[in-house]
Amino acid sequence: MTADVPAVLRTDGVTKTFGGIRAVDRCSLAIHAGRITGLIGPNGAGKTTLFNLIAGLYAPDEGSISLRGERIDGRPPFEIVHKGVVKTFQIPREFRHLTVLENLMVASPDHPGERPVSALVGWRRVWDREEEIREKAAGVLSLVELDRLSDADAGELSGGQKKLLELARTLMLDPKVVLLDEPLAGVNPTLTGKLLGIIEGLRDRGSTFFMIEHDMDVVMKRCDHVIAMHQGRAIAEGSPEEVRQNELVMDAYLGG
Amino acid sequence: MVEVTGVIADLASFGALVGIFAMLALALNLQWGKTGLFNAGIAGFWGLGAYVASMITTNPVPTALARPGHWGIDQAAFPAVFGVSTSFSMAIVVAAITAAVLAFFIAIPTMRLRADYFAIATLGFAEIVMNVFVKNLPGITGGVEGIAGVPRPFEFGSEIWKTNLSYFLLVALILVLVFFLLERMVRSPWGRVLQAVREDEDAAQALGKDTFSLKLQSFVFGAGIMGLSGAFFAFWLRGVSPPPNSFTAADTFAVWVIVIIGGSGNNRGVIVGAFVVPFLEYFSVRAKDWFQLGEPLASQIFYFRLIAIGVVLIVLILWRPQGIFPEPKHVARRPRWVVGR
Repeated sequence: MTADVPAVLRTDGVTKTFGGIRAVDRCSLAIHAGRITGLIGPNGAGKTTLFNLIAGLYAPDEGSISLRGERIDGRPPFEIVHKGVVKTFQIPREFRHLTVLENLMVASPDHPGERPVSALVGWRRVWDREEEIREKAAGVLSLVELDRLSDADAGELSGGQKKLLELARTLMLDPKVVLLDEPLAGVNPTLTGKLLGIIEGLRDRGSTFFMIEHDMDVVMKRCDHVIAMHQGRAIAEGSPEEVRQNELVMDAYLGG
Repeated sequence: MVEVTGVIADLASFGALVGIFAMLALALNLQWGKTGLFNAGIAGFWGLGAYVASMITTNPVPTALARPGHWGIDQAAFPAVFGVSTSFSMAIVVAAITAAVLAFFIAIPTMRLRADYFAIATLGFAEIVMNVFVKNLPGITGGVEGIAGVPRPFEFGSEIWKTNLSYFLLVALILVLVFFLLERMVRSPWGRVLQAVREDEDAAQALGKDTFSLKLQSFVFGAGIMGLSGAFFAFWLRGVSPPPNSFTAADTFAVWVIVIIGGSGNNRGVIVGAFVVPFLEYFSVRAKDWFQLGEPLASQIFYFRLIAIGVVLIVLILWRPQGIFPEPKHVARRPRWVVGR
């Protein structure tokens, strides 16, 4: 089942220790392209730490992380983003005093206008690129149905709209892998459906998602593949059904 | 007639000082207003620019028995263009570059610090530069005596109102240039990404922005403008003198007050703010003559400006925390003219 699809992201024996606690302990797993992979596990299993390791916010103490065979562990976060791995925050981190549209435009990579000298000179090509980015941002906004709010300050959005904005902002980067840290936490059922619809639509066009999620109903129905973590390690993986029936996973959740 | 020229001389001198502080405020508005960098060492960059400019525009003075000397350049070495010595343009440019270079080396170890620690680090740096180095290098900086006899770029005749007015116009011209330069830079995608760094540095990093480098650019560029302002301050004062006379933490504080009053993030606002603080000083010095005050008020009124600044700050922070002019919406705008095909 897993062998026929190439792994886009792989961790090998990754370990991260905080003081005496091994938050992630020799964790090895693979994420396959074009799928929504769910990451489950009880509180303290090391899911968010693993995400932070992949995104480069921490460097692993041991082990390696690779994207399409190229090692990315130990690189600064912004380089990992440029290589195509983008993480959303569990609590949305919008730029409050920028408008919704500006929040998306600022996410665009390789904008020549973000260099001080080109900003000062004001090259025509900078401002032409700015127009392209504006159009792309407008397109992404209509995809997530925030286009009516494009001129509002991002700080004025509701909690659910901020979640949409958080996802939309990552899409500006055309990522190879999107790490979603509880994208549905605190979101009402209608919006949950909308967010999942958007994610599935992108998956169908070839995007890859790796998603921490606690709602088992969502994991079982919407994820293509599930990985379960416990005490810092990947203890099981497979289809949602296989993972649900795995005894190690049941023990972990029941406090084994 | 004496009356009118006296007023012109006085107002022009005041106006030039407003312009000099406005440059500082614009620079801090880039660093703090746009990028969120808590620079508490403004006096250091300002003072450095002033000292460098003073040394370039005066002849060297050897240390004599009674008085410390200072470095300088033989002024005969500078050719004059249209009757103005080229030493001035050199002084302005070198003052800005020196302050920017120093900012670069300070930023490398301190830029990763959190805002409050960064503030303490920059404050400490300014105190070290002015109080430890500048004061204790007689033969180079003039030690505690500073540097006297710094000329101004335009000295039209001997009448004070003419030189003050021409100097005011020069400062105003430079201020306008600095304003448009900064406004163009800030209202660009660069300004927008700086604002993103200010709002949430972690989130900016998560979107692939090299936030360290962006903060460095903003800090170094702002410090360069502070050095430029320092050069114009040295010409204005016709000399430099170390703390506690000039370049103290109180000057740094004054620039902060200006930015907060005017409106953090709004370049027009901070220029208006730059009028308020020097005006309170201007007013408090002259009030005793204007209102024919008797003692003890006449000798005390000077200190009322400190109370006035405090009251203005409290009122503003309670009722209008964004300042007189709030930050404009829509950061990046295509400028009226662009370069290239």
